[in-house]
Parts: sequence; C-alpha cells; structure tokens
Amino acid sequence: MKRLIEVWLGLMLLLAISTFSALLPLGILNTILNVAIAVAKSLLVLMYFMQLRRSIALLRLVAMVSLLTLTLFFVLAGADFITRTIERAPWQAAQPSVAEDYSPAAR
Amino acid sequence: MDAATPDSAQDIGRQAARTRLGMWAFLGSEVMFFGPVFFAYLYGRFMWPQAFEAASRGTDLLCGAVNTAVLLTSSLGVAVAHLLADRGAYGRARRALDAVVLLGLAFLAIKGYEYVQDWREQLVPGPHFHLQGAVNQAGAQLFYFVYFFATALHALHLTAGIALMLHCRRALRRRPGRPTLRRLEAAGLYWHFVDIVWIFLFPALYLAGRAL
Repeated sequence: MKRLIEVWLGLMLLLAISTFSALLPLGILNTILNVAIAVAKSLLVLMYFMQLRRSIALLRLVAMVSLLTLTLFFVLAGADFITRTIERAPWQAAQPSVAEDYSPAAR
Repeated sequence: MDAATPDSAQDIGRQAARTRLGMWAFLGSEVMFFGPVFFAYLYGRFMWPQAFEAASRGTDLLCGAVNTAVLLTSSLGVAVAHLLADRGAYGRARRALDAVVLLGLAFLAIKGYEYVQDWREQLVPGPHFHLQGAVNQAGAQLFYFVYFFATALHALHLTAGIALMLHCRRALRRRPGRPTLRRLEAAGLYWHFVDIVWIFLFPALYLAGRAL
C-alpha cells in the first residue's frame, strides 16, 4: 500500500513538472520533456499499478510486442505520408495548405 | 489433475495467469486501436506545426491538468482496491472502487464542461469553426478534429471502465473470492491502460506550443 501511494506521489510530481515546464519557453526541449515525462509516467503505471515489475517474462513480452508493432506501423505509414504531396480534390476548398503554415505571418 | 481438488494452488495460479495473458493480448489490440489516432496527430503536428500549436493553445490547460490528476488518482484507487481485495478486506476494497467510480465520473463531467466551452468558442470542426488568432484556420480545424476524436474515444473507453468497476464492486459484495479477484485484476489492467492513453493525450493536446 505504501509503495502504491509513493508511486502516486511520483506521478503527481511528474504531472506538475510537465505542466509548468510546458509554460516555459525552452524551444525543442519543451517537446522532449513532454514526451520523456509521459514515458516516465506510463512506466510507473505499467510497472507498479499494472504489476509488470512482478510479472512473468511472457506478459512483458506481450506488452512489448504490441508497442513494437505500433512503432513499425508508425515508421512505415510515416515514410509514406511525409513523402507524399497532398493532392487537393476540386471540392476540398478547406484543405490546409502547408505554405500558409510556414508563411511569416503565421510565426 | 485430481478432480476432487480443483482449487489447488497450481490451478489458481494457472487461472490467474490465463486471465492476465488474455487481458494483455486484448490491451495489445487496444494499442493498435488508439495508435492511428496518435499517428494522425503526429502527422498534423509535423505538417502544420504552427497551426497545431496555435490550436493546442486554444484548449483549457487547467481542465486538462486537473483531469490528468483525477485519472492518475483513480488508477491509484483501482490498484489499492485490488490490493485490499487480495488481502480479504472486501468492504474496504468496495470503498476504494466507490472512489474510483466517482473520480471516473468527475473526469467525464470536466470533459463535458470542456466540450460545452469548445462549442461556445466555435472550436467544433464544421462550417462555423473559427480559432481566434490562428492564421491557418484549416490546419487548426484538423487539430480539433483529432482532439475531439481522441478525447471522445477515450471518454467512451472510460465509460466502459466505469461500468466494469461497478460490475466488480457488485461481484465483491455478492460472491467474494478468487474468480471475483481475477475479474477485478483484469478490469484494473483495462483501467490503467485507459489512464496511460490519457497520459499521452494530455501533453499532445494540451501542452503543445504552450510557451510563447
């Protein structure tokens, strides 16, 4: 019980750090911190609340396999999407343009 | 195996292992279910970074942070309920589940309040969508499409989780024992998974581009 509450305190601390650090202009570090803290929080939940820490290797393997498969999908689909030019259909007037986003006015 | 002793320690261990493995396999399929939503977000963030960051600033940071705290606390409640039930303290385990259900409902209430605010601020994708101060309105609209889809899908999962917790609470009262304990553990794994999805949704939807 004590351990669970300690983990919860850790989660709250991480939440506070991620929320307040997001308000500081740290550039790219903002994104890195956000992702790193989210990963740390999920590891705490996975290890202690979902008890992967005490689980047999098979369960950890199942958990890892789904994440690895998802990573694979992200890489494959991502390689396709970011190298593709968006073709605008005639009726798609609202298609967001990339150029607009990078214009000086958007900055 | 001797039919006269169906509840041997080995048998109990096997049944528990089966439950866990089944639930983890199901959660694997759930990862595949939520994955594309995150992919859509990443793609949009990569293609229209300014629009996505401007749109992210339009969300309610306080509501998002409070909801994250509510959900993390509810996860603690589920873990505590399972621990108490495992020790035979079924009454106290039910109290813990009460707290979990209330926290889950509080999360949905705060999310609902946010949806009402979004509706009033014309942030719902459609002909009336308008985000103040955003140059690329179409890009910002895409962010809100992902925002509504992701949070609604998450809220749907949370609703299912609340139903599971109510079911477990009733089972703890009516027929406390090993099968109920296994059920509670499986439902708990599901609850924690939904929590983890939110752990990633929170920085993606609420914290992106917050610092100016």
